[in-house]
Amino acid sequence: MSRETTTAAAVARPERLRKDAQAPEDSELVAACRRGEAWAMEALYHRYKRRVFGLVTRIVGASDSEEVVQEVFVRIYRGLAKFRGDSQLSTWIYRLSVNASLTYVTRRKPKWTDGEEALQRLPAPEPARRDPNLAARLGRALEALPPGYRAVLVLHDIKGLSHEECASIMGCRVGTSKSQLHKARARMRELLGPDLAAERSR
Amino acid sequence: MRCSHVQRLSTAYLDGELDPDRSSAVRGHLRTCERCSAAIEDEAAVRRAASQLEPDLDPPAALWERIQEQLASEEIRDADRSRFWLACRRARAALSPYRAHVLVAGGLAAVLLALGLQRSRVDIVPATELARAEVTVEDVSPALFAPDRPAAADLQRTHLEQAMHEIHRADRRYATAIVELQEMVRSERDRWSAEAAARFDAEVARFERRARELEHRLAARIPDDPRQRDRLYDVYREHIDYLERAVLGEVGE
Repeated sequence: MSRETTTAAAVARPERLRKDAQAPEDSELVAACRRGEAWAMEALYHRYKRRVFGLVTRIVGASDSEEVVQEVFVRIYRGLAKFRGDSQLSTWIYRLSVNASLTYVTRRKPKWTDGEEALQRLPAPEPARRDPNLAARLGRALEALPPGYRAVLVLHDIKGLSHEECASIMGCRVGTSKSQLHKARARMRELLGPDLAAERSR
Repeated sequence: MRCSHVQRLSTAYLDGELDPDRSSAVRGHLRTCERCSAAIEDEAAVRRAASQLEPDLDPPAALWERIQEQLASEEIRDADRSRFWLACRRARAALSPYRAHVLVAGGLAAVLLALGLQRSRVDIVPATELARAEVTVEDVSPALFAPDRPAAADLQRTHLEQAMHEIHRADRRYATAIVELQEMVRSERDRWSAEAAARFDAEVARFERRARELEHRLAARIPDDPRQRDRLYDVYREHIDYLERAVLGEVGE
């Protein structure tokens, strides 16, 4: 090797090491995925798998979530060519996740879920307990919420997204997101009635 | 401030989105109203409980492989189906300036335009995929947010109408493409030998027989049979492929 090459290679190394140490930005990953680079596709999957899996599970339930998550990621990779980067990648991915979940839920139940039936399936209310139990019961009561309410409650209260982000993901106006959240919480209040009374008396 | 008003503002209040004046008014009401106070506490408890739900879990390890497999099989299916689209792009690229001139005059551009290929997407998709038309929240939000309305029947009807509309549109586009390409072939055909011309006519006749047969069978079925329609579209596409090759002079030897 000539001295020049060695020098050039050596001089380039700090830059290369610095780049390796940093995880690539979402935009870099997207660009690499578009070029069909397998490492980027897998990196994207690992970066978003938990968020997508969590969101989908809350909307469609644990038994069906894997199937829907699979569909979501296939749509992500096939849709990346059309992703213009005018919204954040995470928002776009959430949107695909919510759409796929809601589509799945509306197709899955030919008859509308009767809130009463679902309530009866919940285990009987237990005597006043600490918050964690209420959280668990809320998690199970999600099933009894209409899918639209479920989605906004998951996105805003469970995932902690803003109304602007929720509206962007769900494709509605910010005002709509706010009013749907209000109704979702009200419905959840009805579903959890006895537990909440117990909470209050502590 | 009345109870009904406070109830309506509860979510905005709890999420800190109310202006200071109304916030203060709500707080004042809550000091003296037991019912509203309980309702607000309940909603706060719902919000708290929701935020305390367990953090997201990892999906099972095997999922990544399944994703790759599904992606691979869909891309392979695409490769097969978009032969026409790829062929047209190739045709455009392969045209020499002179032939481009002739063909543009003859209407290849018109064909491409008619098929909407000047846009970046071709809308010709197989019926099986149309039947799985994607539904977004915007399409269905009224149904989703009204707990007492059975949404499924309405959705199914919309899907069907949408799918049938797409099918009619696709049918027309295939028919247009075939007619236009046949026109273009006519000028090429004059330069062929008699045998080549006869072979061409026989091939075209075969395509048309197969297409008519499938169309006839489909006409008798309501609703549409996606697999038959896929086969029909395959015939159209092969026909178009063949005509395109003829236009480019690959068939006339």
